[in-house]
Amino acid sequence: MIKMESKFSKLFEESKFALFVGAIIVAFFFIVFGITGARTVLGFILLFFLPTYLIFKNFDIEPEEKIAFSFFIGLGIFPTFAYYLGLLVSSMRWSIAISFVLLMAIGIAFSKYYPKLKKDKESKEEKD
Amino acid sequence: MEDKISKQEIIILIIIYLGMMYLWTMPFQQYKIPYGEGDAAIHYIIADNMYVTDKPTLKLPETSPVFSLEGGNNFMPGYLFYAPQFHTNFAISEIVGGERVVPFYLYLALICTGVFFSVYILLRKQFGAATTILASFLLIFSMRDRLTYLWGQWGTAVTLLYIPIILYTYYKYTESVYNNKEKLIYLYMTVLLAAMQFLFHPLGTAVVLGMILVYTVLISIKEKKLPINKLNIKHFIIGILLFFFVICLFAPLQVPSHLGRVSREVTIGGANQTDIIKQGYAVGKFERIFKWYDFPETLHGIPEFYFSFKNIYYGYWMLPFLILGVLFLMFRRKSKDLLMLSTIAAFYIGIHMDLFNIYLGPKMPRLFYLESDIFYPLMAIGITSIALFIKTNEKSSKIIKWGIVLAAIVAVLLINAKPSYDQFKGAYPIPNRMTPAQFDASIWINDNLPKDAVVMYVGPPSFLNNAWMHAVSARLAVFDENYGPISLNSLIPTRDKNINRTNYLLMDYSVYMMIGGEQATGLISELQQWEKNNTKGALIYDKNGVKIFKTV
Repeated sequence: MIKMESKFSKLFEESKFALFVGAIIVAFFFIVFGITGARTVLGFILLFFLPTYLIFKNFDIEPEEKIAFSFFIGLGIFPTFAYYLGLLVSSMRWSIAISFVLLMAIGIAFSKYYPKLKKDKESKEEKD
Repeated sequence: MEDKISKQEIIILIIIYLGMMYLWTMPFQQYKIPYGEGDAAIHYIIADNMYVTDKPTLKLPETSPVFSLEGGNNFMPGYLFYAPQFHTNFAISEIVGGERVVPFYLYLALICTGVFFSVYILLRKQFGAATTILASFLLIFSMRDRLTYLWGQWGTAVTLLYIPIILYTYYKYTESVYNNKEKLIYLYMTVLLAAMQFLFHPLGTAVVLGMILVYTVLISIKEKKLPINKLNIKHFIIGILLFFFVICLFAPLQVPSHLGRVSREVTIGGANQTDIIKQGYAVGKFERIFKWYDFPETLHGIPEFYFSFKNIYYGYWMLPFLILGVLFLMFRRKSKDLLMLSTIAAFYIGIHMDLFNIYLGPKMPRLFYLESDIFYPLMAIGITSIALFIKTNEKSSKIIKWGIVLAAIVAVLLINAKPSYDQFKGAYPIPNRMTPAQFDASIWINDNLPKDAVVMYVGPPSFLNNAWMHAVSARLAVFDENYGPISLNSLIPTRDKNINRTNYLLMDYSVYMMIGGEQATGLISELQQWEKNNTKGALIYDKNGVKIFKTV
């Protein structure tokens, strides 16, 4: 219980810090470019980073690696969904919205089931 | 080596990065009008087409023949020739940002400055905070990165962003193999990152492959065994298959053309071209072993000043640190040192392939776009290695190291910062950028004229003026590609193959009204006379020195 609480408070602290850093960045672009700058940077973080981060955060790698890989892979994954869905729905605006929802759903589902699958696999290996 | 990245370090890093962003976004902070060379206008046309039509660009929009876009995808002429991810990201930024200029260039700036973070990831755990922060700081004022960003070779800018991080993942994988704690995630990350890089521009993938090969050779000699063995070879094979699967799945219409592009850019087209290149580059001559820059402008179109250490690195003051960095790594030869050495070694081999009787194509000197991203980390290693020559205890050594970094940062601010600031501040002045009147007229054309409008431009004095008005108006434009002295004749298109399709005429006086002076006044009079004699249609737009007539 204590261990869980400490893990939770650590996660809360880290999230607070990440939000703080994110807020500094968005505020900077708001000051320099107004609402257009803030929207663009926020969109950049939400679309190119967040969905892939929800996947990579589950892997056993360093925190800065999770962030970096999420950005660099997200830059290729998100536009792929947006472009090809755009050909299907014939609207870029709609395809961006659908891609975001779809990728977030994949990310959340992965976050939920991957640790469970990993745990099952590890316990099976231990038994063997 | 300091393993944990503290919150203070992250804050310092973010502050430095935001300083970099402020500097790099100067060209569009006050004057929110698109800019760049012809390549930049082409990228803008393709990406912006998705914004203005709200549809993904599958087939290229019809553009002026001066851009020769039709042959870009030689596998499927007329179709998008870059993998769709490249231009789609710009369009996404425009849509999310809600307009056509600032979000486009902001995305570009974020991507081009991203090398700050990829170099950070490569160096941080291996060489510590001091070296890494210094290397990233040096990149803020990197002239090569700046020019690629400003000129418009954006595919190259994105591709080089991936090089440090791919090297990092491959290094982490080989380290895990040699430490008998194999972490396959790094191998598959290497593959996925390389696939993403290939989609943005294949040149970087060819370069990083060369670096990985050199590193594999060096590390195998050091460890006396290859990182590939009976147990993991299947993962290497799966990795290669995964790479091709991803690129074919993500860009099925562009991959054949991309592979062709690699071939075109690094090979030559026949005996005749071989002779030209041999003659032009003085290739195959033994003395080239000792030369780094040896590429006359005639063959590749890049200005001569680009091939000079003195011009690109603000004099020779950083050369001793580069040499020191290389010598230090050669002397120490840890795995991480070999990784860094393999970057410069692979680059050297790449630009001297002719010594092995392998002649690369005329575009080979474009490899120099990424030279600084190899040099600056080595310089930072050289600078911080000075602290190791001073024998003292660990605590004092750390203070000395940070003192040296601080001194280097001050020197960079005094020497490198001013020219960088001036170049960003004064990037693309009129007439190399559109005047506000030209920009407004182009926006008006996009908002009001039918999709099949063909607009002839009379008056804009520079190629870039014409190219960008064409890009922003998103309508077929009629103009000639002129670089010579300006006269009335040079301002009236005569050679464009679409001249007979013209149904609108744009008369532009705005540049001359802004510049003023005797020559400008003379040109205004001549243009007015030409307008009086030649325009018969209805005037439908007249604002700040730009007029538009409906001619048919």
